Order: sequence, then C-alpha cells, then structure tokens
Amino acid sequence: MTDRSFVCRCEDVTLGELEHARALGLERIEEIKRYTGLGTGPCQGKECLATLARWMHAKAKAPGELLTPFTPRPPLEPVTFAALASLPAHDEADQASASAPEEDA
Amino acid sequence: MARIPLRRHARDETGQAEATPGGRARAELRFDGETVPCREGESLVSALLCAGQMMTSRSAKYRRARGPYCLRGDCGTCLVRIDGRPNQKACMQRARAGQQVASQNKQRADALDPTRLVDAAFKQGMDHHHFMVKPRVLNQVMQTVARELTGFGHLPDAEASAPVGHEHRDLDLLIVGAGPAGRAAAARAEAEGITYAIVDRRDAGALASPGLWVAAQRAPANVERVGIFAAYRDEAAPTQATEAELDAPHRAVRGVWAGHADEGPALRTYAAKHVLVATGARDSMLPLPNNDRPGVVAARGLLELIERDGLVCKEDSIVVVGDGAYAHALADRLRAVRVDPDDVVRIVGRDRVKGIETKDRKLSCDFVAMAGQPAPSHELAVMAGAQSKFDGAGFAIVRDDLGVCARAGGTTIWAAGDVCGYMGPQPAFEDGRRVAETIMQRLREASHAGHPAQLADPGDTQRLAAADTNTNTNTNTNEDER
Repeated sequence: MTDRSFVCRCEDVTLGELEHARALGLERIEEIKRYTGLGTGPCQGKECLATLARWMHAKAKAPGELLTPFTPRPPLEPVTFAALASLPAHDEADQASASAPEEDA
Repeated sequence: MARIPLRRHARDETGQAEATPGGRARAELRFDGETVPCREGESLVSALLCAGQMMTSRSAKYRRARGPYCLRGDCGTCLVRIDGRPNQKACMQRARAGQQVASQNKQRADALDPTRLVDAAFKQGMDHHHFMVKPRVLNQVMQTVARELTGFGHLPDAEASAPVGHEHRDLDLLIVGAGPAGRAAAARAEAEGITYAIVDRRDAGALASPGLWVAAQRAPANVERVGIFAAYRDEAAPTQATEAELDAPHRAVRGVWAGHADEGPALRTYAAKHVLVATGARDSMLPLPNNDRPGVVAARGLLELIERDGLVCKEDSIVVVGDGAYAHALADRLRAVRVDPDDVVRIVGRDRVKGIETKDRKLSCDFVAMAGQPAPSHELAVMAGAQSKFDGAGFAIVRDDLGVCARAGGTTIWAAGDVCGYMGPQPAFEDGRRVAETIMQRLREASHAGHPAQLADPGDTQRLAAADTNTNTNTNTNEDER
C-alpha cells in the first residue's frame, strides 16, 4: 500500500494533490474544490473543509479573511425523494398561511 | 481470525437470560453474508466492530479500504446497504434482529478484487484531469470503467413500501441540536411555557452518552429525532424588511426549516419566530499518512460509542492523536496513549489499522483516534444567511452580543454553543442558557405589546439593524452572486 495522507477521504484527495493544485496557481477553497473534487463526495465537505482551511492557513499562509467556505446547499442530511414528494403543492401552502392569524413572526 | 478490537462489557457475556440488564435482547444480523451477533438497539457500528468488521467500502479513486470514522453522522465512510437500501450511515442506525447489511463499492471476495492494484499502480497520485484523455476511444472506455467504480451504492431493491407523510408545525422557537447548548435552551423554553420543539438527528441512546461533559445534563424527553436538512426562506419573503413593512399588516413571512424524521417516516417543516442553531462542532480529519485506514476514528465519537453501548477496549488498543486540552482530555477518558500529530510518521496496516509509527517508537493498536480541535458545524446557519469566520479550527458562526446570527424573512436566527467556535460542553450549556434568556425576553415583549409585531421595541429594531450592518453586509451580495 502506498503511503498517502488524505484530506478528503470521500473523493480520495491527498495532500500531494493539494500541493499539485497549489502549484497550478489555485488559491481559493472554491477553486481547489472544483479542481480536485474535495468536498463533493457524500459528506459534502463536513469532514474535509475544515482540514483544507487549516492546511491553507498553515502551509499556504492564506490569511483567515480570505478563507471562505463553499456555499452549503440542501440537503444537509440524507433525504429520500419520497419524503420530498410529500410536501404540499405550493398553492396549498399559500392557502394555509393566508388563513393563519396575521402576525409578523 | 481477525483481531477483535472491541467487546461488549463482560457483564453481558455471562448473562444467562436472553435480555441484558439494559433491556437489550441478543440477536443476530448478517454483514456481507456472515452472521454478526448484536444487541437490539445498540449502534450498528458497535455490532460490526465487535465482530471485527472494520471495512464498509473501498474508496472512489485509489480503491483503498474505508471504515467508520466520525461515529456521529458527519463523514461519508460508514455507508452500508441495509435491507436492500443503499447508502445508510451505519453510525446512525440501530442494530436490529435479521438485518441484512452489506458493504458497498467493493467485491464480496475482497482478495479477488483486481481494483485493489490501483493504489500501488498510481504511487505518484492520479490527476483525473489528465488521465487517459487521449486517444478518444481510450477516454470513453476509461470513463465507463470509472463510472462503475466511483459510484456509491446501487439502486434499492424495491420502492419504499410505506408512504411518507408530511407534518408542519408553527412554533415560537425551534431548537436545532440537543447537545449541551440546545438542552439549556429547551429547559428555559419549557419553564417559560412557549411553543417550541427541540430536534436532533441522533437517537436517545447517543444523546445519553456524556462524552467529555463532566456535569452532563440529561436530554429532555421531548427531543424529536429529526435531521434538519435545509433552511428555506418563504418564497415571498423580503430578505431585509424595512420598518414600514414590518408595521404594515401583511402575509406572515417565515423561514421554513425542513427536516426529515428518522423514525416513523415523515417529512417535517417548521415555521418559527425564532430558530436557535445549536448544531455543535465536529471532529475533522488530521492529514497524516494512511489516515484513511479502517480503525482510524474520531476520539470523541469512539468515547461516546463505548459509553452508549457498554463496550470495552483491549488495553493499549487505542492511540489518540492530537495536542491541546481536548486531546489530553480524550486520551485520559479513553485510557489511551496520546501522540502529537507532528511526531507521527505513518499509520500502519493494510486493510485496517495495525499500529502507528512515531519518530521515536512504533505502537501497535486497533484504533487511531483523532483528537484535533473540533470544527463548527456551520452549514445550516450559513444556509439561513449567517456569516462565518475561520477560527483556526474551522468556520465559526458570527453573531452579535445577544446571539443573533441572521434574519430570514420574519424569523430571527440565533446561534449558541460550539457552532460559534468550540468552547466545550459546560461553556456551551451556559451559552445556550444565556441566548435562550434573550429569546424568551423577545417573545415576552412581543406578546405584551398587544399587537403581533415581532419587534415591539424601537430600540430593538435599531440594535438589530446595527447588528445586521455589522454581520450581514454581504448577505444580499452573496445572494446576487449565487
């Protein structure tokens, strides 16, 4: 087995690959994500985003202000299409809230 | 015979009755065709580890063995197929009699899987952008093969048999997370008598593990097992209402928070005047050689699993990797040797952890337990409009002095506890209590004012507007860019 240090285990992105991306001139978290695939696996960066940020801060000397997390998108938890399909259609939802007592929530 | 890294407490093994004192009946399930003894209701991961089954899949590119890591529902490597349904997180499932569990993305007869050779073949790494691009025919063949290998799981055996219902609730307060901060807020809400819900994706057994919380408070009985997966604004809601708009009567504008209940299938939506995000922080990975081996776990997750299911580790079978107070505390509780990440040369073992090499010694062990400073679980709050800031460990939610981190339509979003930067369980509990106090005050002011406007106090509006300016100046810009 080859010795490898993983940053993203879902997509098999190693420290070596991050160095390679950096050598190509990629400096932002979003760029590195797009090139290496880091953060695009089943966990969507929950394990690796922080690790990448720490590495960039320590090794690439990226200042904290320049580190931006990738945009979080739904779903954050596994959810089935069957569950999503159970939502009421938009007009039903409108009718429901129109009849609700008026409050600025 | 594989070395077994964990056992159930000795008390269980000698019990003569079918049921153990904790009420957990002995049962059997199957993993990859092999019988695995289990206790009804324990974590599925406990059952697998106690049977020496450390590997749940092979990785996408280098086809290396993977197993459970975080043990708390955050990472992506404990995914297994259960009763014909793919990609279930083993750490979030309970062992049940007769379950048919299977690993994914690997051949049954592991030794015959030819793709294992990929790891040795690509010692310098594989840059998928430049791999087998030309000639075109070769590229097409490569893509077909790659698609087969890099997917996760196969389609379910059958459609879901039970229809999934939808339930909507209108609340004064939604508390997301039943860790220390969430619990403190729930206690406050209960005492105040408001309409609230507290949700957590973990089950009661997991919530009962104290972990590092020395003075652990019990989770309230009304925690609902719901995994919040999105924060949706009401479509028609303005992102920043002017004072005039708030005063004028208009259709109720609320953020709608969608969740998915893990038990008794139901999709939940919540509309709340206030949402408290208390989602905590998670144990992110430390990049060390061969940190992907089955047996590499998060130290905190391992501790909670051991407590939850009454497990026992062989002596010297855990090595904790980390420095700082957090790592020391975990090494102490796990009765494990602790090594500094900087001293680690490599983790040893082929398909599972056999040991760890440091600069001055070699230790054999079954678990390498990572204990880096936890990184905030920021995603939900940021999705709702909060700003985050890198805090050295991860991305912490930015909030004002009172705890407000965002506004979504007419809903105020608050943040408390480790999601604002890891502070530890007791400080998180106190932080949750403090923020909840302000939320209660807001609710009281709103109802005493007689009319239903959320911001009854003009001073309130100004303070929130100032907070908005300081922390949310980029909110609209980001929306446009997206």
